Amino acid sequence: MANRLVTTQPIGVLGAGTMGIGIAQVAAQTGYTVRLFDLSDDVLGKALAKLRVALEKLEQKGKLAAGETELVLGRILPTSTLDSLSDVALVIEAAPEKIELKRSIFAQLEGICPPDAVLASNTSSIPITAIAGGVKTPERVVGLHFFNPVPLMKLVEVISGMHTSAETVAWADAFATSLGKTTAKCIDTPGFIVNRVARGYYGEGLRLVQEGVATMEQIDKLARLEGNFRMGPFELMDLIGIDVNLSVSQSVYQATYEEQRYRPNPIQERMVQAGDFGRKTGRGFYRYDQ
Amino acid sequence: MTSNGQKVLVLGDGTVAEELAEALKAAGYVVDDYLHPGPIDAWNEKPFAYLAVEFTRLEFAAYDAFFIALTSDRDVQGRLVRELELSIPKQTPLFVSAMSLAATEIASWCEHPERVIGFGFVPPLCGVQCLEMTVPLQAESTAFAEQAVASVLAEWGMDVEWVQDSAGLVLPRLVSVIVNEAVTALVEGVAAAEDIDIAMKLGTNYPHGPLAWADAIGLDQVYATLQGVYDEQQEDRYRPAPLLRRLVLAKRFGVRVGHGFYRYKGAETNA
Repeated sequence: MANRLVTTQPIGVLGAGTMGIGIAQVAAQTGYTVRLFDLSDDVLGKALAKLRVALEKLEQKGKLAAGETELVLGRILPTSTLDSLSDVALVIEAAPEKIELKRSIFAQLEGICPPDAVLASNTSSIPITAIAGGVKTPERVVGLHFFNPVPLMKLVEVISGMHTSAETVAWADAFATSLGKTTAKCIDTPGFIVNRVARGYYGEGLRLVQEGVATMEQIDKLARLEGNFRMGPFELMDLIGIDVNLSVSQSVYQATYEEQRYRPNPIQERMVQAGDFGRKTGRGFYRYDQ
Repeated sequence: MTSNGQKVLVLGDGTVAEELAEALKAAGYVVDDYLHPGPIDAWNEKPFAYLAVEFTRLEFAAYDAFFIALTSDRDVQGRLVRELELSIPKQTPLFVSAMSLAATEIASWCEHPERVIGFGFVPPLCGVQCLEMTVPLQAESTAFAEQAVASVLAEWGMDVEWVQDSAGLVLPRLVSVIVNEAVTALVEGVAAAEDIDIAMKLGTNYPHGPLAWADAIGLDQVYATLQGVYDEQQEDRYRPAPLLRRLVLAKRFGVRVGHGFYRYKGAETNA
């Protein structure tokens, strides 16, 4: 709980989607004041209402101290005006994965946030260097890549762009650590660490099925009972979402000028075309309807 | 340990053979093991001379099964398998690691290929509840192999999953590909070994960091699996990272020698 805060200033979170509200939650639970920005008041309202339900549930289960829900929510200050991020020590951008959008956001943030504020992106697929390329002070731009669901996943990748300063990396690392997260530092390469090294788990699983070496049920079973993985590759793809997994594969494949070992598998694309995304649609490699 | 009355011979050159021999002893088998500390070089006649003498003393008919798990080059594997297989009665099951070469290829060196059974598992064996087994194409059916597993391995109490023969089988191939990517990222300077390992454990719930896992499997085994799959598939995605080969040449096999990607205290180091 009582992790030491690295700043008494508020921090900004930009975007109230799944990742943004998750980051806001852990920061507020740590004790930071969070300015949560989203263009849409409606998105903000719904995200905070959902968070209230989640926190109340935690409180009922005793996983959160009594009265903590109100305290945590009280530390999250929603806003739809970017100018209200003028007093933050750090802003974490969790906007949609579109490079032009992110570059325009960072160019605006540079003029609004204090000159010494750290500007972080939660991107999983866009180079930090490309985001920083559009600002005058790229040394304070850094990647802080959280994993979904943010409150549960312990890891944050801290990514240095080509011009990110050592001070920025150290500060961002200390901030993520203050949230109770474990950090892994890496440089700005496609997929960073996790999304790159994990590609083979899915890719080889699909190939083994295509080659008829084993069925997907056998591969999942062996992954769990022989390899001690928590889930086999097919179970995991169904959980992550086959559409999400395919888009990560495509992004790493494209970003490496089509390095063949990252080439997505046609099976993934076919399933996405069929609308079988995994658990969230009730059908993926396995069926989940009832 | 009370004996379960079964007697087996284990011949190998890496972690897989060591762990297998240990596990079978623990399960009550009488185990005679011939374990070379690492892959045998083609020019090295010593192990062959040693085994030739040993083999003249062994009563081959007294064994219920033979196990071979090798990471040495194909030619060396071929020589060892042939010398052993010629000596053993034709109805005795011969279990061979299919973690680098397909069982069909190993069986192709044998007088009685139909009694060859391929197996695979990913160390550390202490957490493994299920082995992979396969039969070579020469066997035509799994009848003999299933019978052999039932009679010889029942006492071990390991679950068995039958898969189709292919170099590296399922999990050894899958894990080796992940390790290879982690090694490549390490060489490229993407992150330190510790950061890569912690990222994969916490970011996607892997049971071990890939580099620490490789040290536990044995870098010689990981390299042999990748090279074996690469030879069979002829695809660039399986090409072993050059650093992996150099580490094997330097005898930095990992945990069992005290040094791989990491150093391990309390063990002798070879490098």
